[in-house]
Amino acid sequence: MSTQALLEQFISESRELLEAAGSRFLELESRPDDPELVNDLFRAMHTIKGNSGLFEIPALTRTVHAAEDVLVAVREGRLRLGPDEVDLLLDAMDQVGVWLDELERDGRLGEGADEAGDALAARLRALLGGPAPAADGEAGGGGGRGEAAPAAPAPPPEWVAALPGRARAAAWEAAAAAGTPCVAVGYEPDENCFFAGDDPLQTVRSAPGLAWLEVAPREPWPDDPGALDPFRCVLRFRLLCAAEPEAVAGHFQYAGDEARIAAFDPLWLAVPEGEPQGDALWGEVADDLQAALDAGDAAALRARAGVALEAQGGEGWEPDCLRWIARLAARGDGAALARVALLVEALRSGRLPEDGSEADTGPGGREPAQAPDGAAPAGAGPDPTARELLAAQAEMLRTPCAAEVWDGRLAAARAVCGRLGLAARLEPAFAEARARRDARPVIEAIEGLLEGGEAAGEAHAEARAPAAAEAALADAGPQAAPAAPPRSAAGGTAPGAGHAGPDGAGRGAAPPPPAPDRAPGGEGGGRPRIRTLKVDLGRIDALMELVGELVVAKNALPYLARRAEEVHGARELAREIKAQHAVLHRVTESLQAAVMQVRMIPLSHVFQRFPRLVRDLSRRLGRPIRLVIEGEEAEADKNVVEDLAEPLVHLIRNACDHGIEPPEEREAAGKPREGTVRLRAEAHDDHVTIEVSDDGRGMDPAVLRRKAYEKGIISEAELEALDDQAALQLVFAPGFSTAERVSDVSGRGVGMDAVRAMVRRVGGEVRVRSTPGAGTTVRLVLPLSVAVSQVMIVEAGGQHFGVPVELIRETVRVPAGEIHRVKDREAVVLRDRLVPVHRLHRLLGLEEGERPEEEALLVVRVDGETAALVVDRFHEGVDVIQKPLEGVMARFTIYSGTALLGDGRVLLILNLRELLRCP
Amino acid sequence: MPVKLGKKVATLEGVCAVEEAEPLLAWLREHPRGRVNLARLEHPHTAVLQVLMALGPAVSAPPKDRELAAWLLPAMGAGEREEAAAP
Repeated sequence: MSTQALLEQFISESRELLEAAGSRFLELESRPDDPELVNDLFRAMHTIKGNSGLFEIPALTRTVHAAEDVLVAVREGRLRLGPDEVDLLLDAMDQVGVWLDELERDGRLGEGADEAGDALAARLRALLGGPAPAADGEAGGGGGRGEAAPAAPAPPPEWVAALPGRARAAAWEAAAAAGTPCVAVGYEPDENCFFAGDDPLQTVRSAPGLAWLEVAPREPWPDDPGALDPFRCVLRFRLLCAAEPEAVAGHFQYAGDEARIAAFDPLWLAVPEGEPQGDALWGEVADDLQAALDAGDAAALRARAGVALEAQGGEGWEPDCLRWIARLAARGDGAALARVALLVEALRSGRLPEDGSEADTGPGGREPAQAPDGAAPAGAGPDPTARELLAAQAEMLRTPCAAEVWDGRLAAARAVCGRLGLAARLEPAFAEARARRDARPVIEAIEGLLEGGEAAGEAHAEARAPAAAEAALADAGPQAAPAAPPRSAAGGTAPGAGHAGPDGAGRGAAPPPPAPDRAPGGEGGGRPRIRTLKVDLGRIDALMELVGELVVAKNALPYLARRAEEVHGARELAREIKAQHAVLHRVTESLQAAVMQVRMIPLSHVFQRFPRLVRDLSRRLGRPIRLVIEGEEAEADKNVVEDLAEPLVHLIRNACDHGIEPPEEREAAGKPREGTVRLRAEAHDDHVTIEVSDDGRGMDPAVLRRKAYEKGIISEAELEALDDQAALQLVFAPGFSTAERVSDVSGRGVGMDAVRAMVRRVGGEVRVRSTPGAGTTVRLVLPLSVAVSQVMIVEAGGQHFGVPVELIRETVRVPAGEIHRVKDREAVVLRDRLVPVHRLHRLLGLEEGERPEEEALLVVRVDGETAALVVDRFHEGVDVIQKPLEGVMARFTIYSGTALLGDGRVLLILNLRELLRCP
Repeated sequence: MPVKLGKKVATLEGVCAVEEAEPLLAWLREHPRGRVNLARLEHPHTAVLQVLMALGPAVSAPPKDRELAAWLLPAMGAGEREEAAAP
């Protein structure tokens, strides 16, 4: 995969995550204690951060990392998010969004990104109460320290004691300076982790409070460098961090059981090294120190150790003992002094007494089940049991959600199951769920697993899943699942485990299927088939274009048939051509429908940004406003949905700013303090309606009429004639604004005008209804698709024009005498109604042909007004792909576009709205 | 390009991404006596690190980033090799 392709994938993936995160943050505000929300957000941030490491965009990485740290603090209960904190996080998300745009456009971040990133990261970290990641622990001081400070008495992994003295000394100093325990991390990343976009070294180097790092290969390097596969990760990292264990566990959360994290009291670092000199002199020093120790005088102890060190100095066992005694005495608490006693003994005897119990002065073990090598799982502590985890996945999948979130949920559930070592067992269910877009198979499979450890156990054995997974379910102990040996879970012995392993969790909603294909040496058979494709929009557009051309080519057949019959007199052939045309027509229509289906996306794509908008507006205006969204699952063509965003923003702003009254006013009017803005979508056969309504003050048609007259938008005559419904539509007139003052929220009277223009551009229509005192509803009616439209061809002045079918009410022929002249206007009575008559050739400035005895009238309805157009002749209706006018032609607003006809002619499509406004 | 492959010295600068691993490996195999200049290296991707560790080339200039040097050089076994190559 090229870097460019990776970058594109990163951008699109991150955008999706950001969008989802935006709404999640808002939910978090109302449910700050929902761990699932926090975890979701954490996953999103983590994935973006992890993937961003692939590119040189440190500002973005830093910002997301800081947001991730904040979420860790939230998850651990060290921080509660209020509106201000959420604001800040949302700002950060916005900035990341801007960067993604820049990255997509220029391939790099814009000017000043570093500064902006630093500033954002600093502000985020300020929430934690400290300037640097290392300060995470300090921020937790208030709550977490109570139990952490007496220090984990569990011994560290054996390798800690074997580290070089300077490593341990460095960790000691760091822990003493930060006032945190020490955390040892043994990290063996999955062999295929590079293909998931991970850089374990990056993870390691950014670990909180990193004080020591050692890298070693897990297996000997091949003798022949040619046998080296640089993309198979075979490294083992060992770290010492001076930080709160929770912070480290959070940092390595997505390493799963590849990272073994053990918190321990830094006292365990105090292991002297070097050759004992065995000088009798050291005995005297030991006696001296013992006396100070017996007196419990830490200061004296430290001073004497210091003096002895200065006097004797040098390298070797004894001086090292002294150095540690000095360090421990500086800390001076009971546990430290107990350890000093051991060291004094070591100073005397030349070996460290083989007993850790003296040091074990803390209260009951925090992690009693800890293995001797100190393997504590990443994310230890509040982790629910494997059983609960599984049940939670089933629960999550059962909860209904928007379509585009669904994939992420399923991927997340799959990743969690992968971490529990159940990937193989559940993979068929996941594959089925993906194919059917229905989570039920997975839910059932999980329930099956939960229904008794025995059955589950058997199932695992069959599926050759790691034995640890069995333990995970059978024991369901807090340590069981993650304590699985890292290699067995990560090594990918089970089919599917290669990509559904712990790493999968980090990638959250990322499309997982491509991973195994990119993995080298993946010999596991029976891989899941790829069920969903991410396709570049350009390709879909190209496909749509081709369908359009096919439609045009198909439309040529009737002409051919006519020529065959009329010119060559081959009726038989003409009939056959027509039959072929019918077949082609059917296939083309199906093809067109299929391609359109691909382009359909749910409106939630646009809707999901509005909770944020309303929240921001609500805060800025100081009015409590609730947004209710309904029917966001309705689908429409991607272009329509995207073009919808801007008008809807205007409408929602208007509803919040002009519609909803200040709370006091509402109370006085007997309404609840909190205003409600409702966004409702409904799908119909060929169109979708969207309503934005508020329960605010509504609009008064009388006021609108007067204002419109004052602004010269309507004449005095119109002022009289306009009924209430028509008066309300005046808000869409250019230059109309009823607000007394211009606020910074909604615009300056261009809003509604712009809304209507934008809605019309995609072929939609907009109407407003309002009841003074009760609220306003703006209703948009939009076509499902803008790609193919049906037009009727009419002839005027010897030329052909297209008229959109949806505007046509009927076609009639009336005797010329029935068209009456009223002053300079013409009109005709149709179905007992007086309908104004326009002559198309005159509107278009074309020559008039001979007036026939019967006039052909095209009756159309535009903006609620009925009008009749006199044309020379009606022709057939055709499906066309409308192309906008370009270049100089774009100035002629009486045409909405052009279309290519089957016989090669170019058809101008009339914009009746403009055309009928002219006279 | 954060990795410059010269005739005798490969210079690694800034953040070396995963794609650099393969060319670097190829270069080190072609130039068994080639050296690496790490002075301006900020962060090697793990894959690049693996290549450095597995091939253990002589270091012509250690990273200026002391933290990086502290663990990277021991991991590359650079200390001993350099000394061995010196006389």
